[in-house]
Amino acid sequence: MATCGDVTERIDAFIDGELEPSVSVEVARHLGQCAPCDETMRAFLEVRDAIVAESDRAVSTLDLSTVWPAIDRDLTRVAEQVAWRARVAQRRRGLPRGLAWGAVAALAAGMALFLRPVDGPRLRGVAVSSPPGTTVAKVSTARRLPNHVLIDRLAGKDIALRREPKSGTTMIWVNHEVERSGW
Amino acid sequence: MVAHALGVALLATIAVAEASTLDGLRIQVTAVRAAESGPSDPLLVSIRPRLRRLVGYRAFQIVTREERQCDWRAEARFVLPGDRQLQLLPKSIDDGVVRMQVRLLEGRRRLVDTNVGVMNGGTMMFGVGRDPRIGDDALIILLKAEMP
Repeated sequence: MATCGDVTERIDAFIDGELEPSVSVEVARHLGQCAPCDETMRAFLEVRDAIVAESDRAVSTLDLSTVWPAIDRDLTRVAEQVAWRARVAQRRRGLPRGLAWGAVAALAAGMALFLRPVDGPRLRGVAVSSPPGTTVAKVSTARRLPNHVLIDRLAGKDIALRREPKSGTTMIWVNHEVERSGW
Repeated sequence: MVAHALGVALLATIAVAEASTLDGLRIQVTAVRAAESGPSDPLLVSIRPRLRRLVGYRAFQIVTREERQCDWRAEARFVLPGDRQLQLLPKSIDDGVVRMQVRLLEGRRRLVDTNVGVMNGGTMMFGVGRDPRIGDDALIILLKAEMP
């Protein structure tokens, strides 16, 4: 039988639906019989509902009128790319293999010249330097979620990069054994 | 004479325009203590599941929260619990991305030194694991950068 202390510790997880089914049933049973614990849970729910309502209100003020046209444009662009690739593949079947590879090599060389930086290398989202004995992360810049973070350089000892895919939240985690540096 | 006056006016206009685009960066730094068990801060209820997935701890309490306006290309220091501090050097905003140099220090020791780009209004996090010698809890630092 769960005590009030056990239940209080688990109320957060109970509300978030993160408990094992058997534990969840035990907590629910206790809440049904214990008025103070039930009141605590209701208070938690009220706070959560208030925050959710405030978030909904904030979201409702956002102007999303440009979102769907942008998605539509992207879908059209992707469809055109797929059709173009199909046409190229069809044409390639009719070409001699050597000629096709030569054309690809010439195109790649042309692109490399065209995309070459004019005023020195400028790398976005890619580690550019690190002192000796440091950890460096390479991060793609392709995704732009609300909390997405671009990391150009990351130095530190015994660190890890963690990402939460849903919101793009990035965390740089430091294990506690750290370097003594002459900062 | 007129050309000089026009030149000065043009330069002044450019300076004012540049200043107005680089004004008003607000930085919010929140220090959160993470523990294996216990109650969580109601203010963190909306991000608690995300925190749990990221760090594995179950209970979170806000220890300090500081919000201030920071100047561009000027270092700002935010004091954190456990003799730690977050040093920021906001550099620019480009395509909705606030670029900063960020250093996390513990005393004189440098834990992290990084150049990051945070989406305007977005939040990134730093975490410092539990020190087994002291037996303290883990520390999570939420860094939010916003330019209205």
